[in-house]
Amino acid sequence: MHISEGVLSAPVLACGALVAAGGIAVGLKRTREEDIPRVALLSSAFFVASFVHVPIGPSSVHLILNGINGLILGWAAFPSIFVALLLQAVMFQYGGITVIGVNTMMMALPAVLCRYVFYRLVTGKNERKAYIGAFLCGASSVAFSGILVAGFLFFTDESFFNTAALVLAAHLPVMIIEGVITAVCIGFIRKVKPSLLGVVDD
Amino acid sequence: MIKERILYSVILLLFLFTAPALAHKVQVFAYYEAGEVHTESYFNDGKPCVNSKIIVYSPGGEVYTEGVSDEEGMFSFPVDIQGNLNIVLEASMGHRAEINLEIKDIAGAEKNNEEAAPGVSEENETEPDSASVADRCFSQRELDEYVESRVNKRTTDNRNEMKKLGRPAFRDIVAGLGYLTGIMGLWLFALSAKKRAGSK
Repeated sequence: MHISEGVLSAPVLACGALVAAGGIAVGLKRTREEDIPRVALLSSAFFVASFVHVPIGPSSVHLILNGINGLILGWAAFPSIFVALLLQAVMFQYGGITVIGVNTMMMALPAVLCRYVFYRLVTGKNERKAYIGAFLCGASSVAFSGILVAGFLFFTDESFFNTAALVLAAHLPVMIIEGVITAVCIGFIRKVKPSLLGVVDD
Repeated sequence: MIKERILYSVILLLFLFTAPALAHKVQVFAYYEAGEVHTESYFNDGKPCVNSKIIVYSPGGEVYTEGVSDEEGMFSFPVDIQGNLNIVLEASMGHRAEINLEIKDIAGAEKNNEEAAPGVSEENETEPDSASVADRCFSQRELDEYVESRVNKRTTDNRNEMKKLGRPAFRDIVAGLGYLTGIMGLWLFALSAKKRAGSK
């Protein structure tokens, strides 16, 4: 779900860069020293996830893992995803340097928003609800990213609803897979290391 | 602490053992042959870009022709101008790639069927028994078959080569993880240096 270079116009790129810069600033400010390895770990996971291809459907889609990034890191998902995207742009020409702001916003903003929506459910006492919340968080972050892609492409000559439908349809398998991955990871974290999520031990 | 370590390594291993397949990038290749330009478009996992828009710009910058790639990601169009063609691929969902193809001498088509794909070198594979092959007498049919099979092989080889070009190498992915670890180290180092300076 990387937007390539040369697709978007300068004002759109600038807007994306501004939002991304703001998110990165908030993220860096909220990152405590002991959180840094966690940010790097999730950044690595995001970096590698882009190479995991989901061979379903006519298009070429890959895992994104922004949902779990947001759940564990909160606003620090912005710097985490930014650094991974930067490396992908430089090393593999995915996306590109000029679109890095847009791509960061596209993947990190849904991560942060979905954390706010699902955090309480995921960290709550009810285990089943936590699994469901984690699944929804993983799936809806991808969906929201897809809608953002369509939103950005709306500023080119593509129609919003067509693109949104196309992106969402192509990413349906990814949404399900990421929902499951997020649920499994969260279930594991809840059992093994609840403090990673801020779940209070009782 | 131990539990935390196990968790981290399990998550990391999960991702390390996935095949270094693919991600999101498109590539377009183009070559000129006998009055026609052929383009081939692929995602970087080697999947052809089906139904993707190809726009060709003339040396003057105007749209020369446009079309849509077929089931195999191919799109061909006839050319009657010389100079640098700019071929732009617009696949769905914000994917875009372009390539420049120089059309030098339309008349000398045979001489000029060069590969524009970067890195796809036109290496001449010499048949080990080429001398003896040349000495033998072929019927026209045999010769046709032979030429055809060689051309087909070359085409398949080139296509496979093109598909492979966009595929990320496993060592590059591992290198990326190394960079990330390094960045984390620098960040921690900067913080601790700041702390040390503050405590003095």
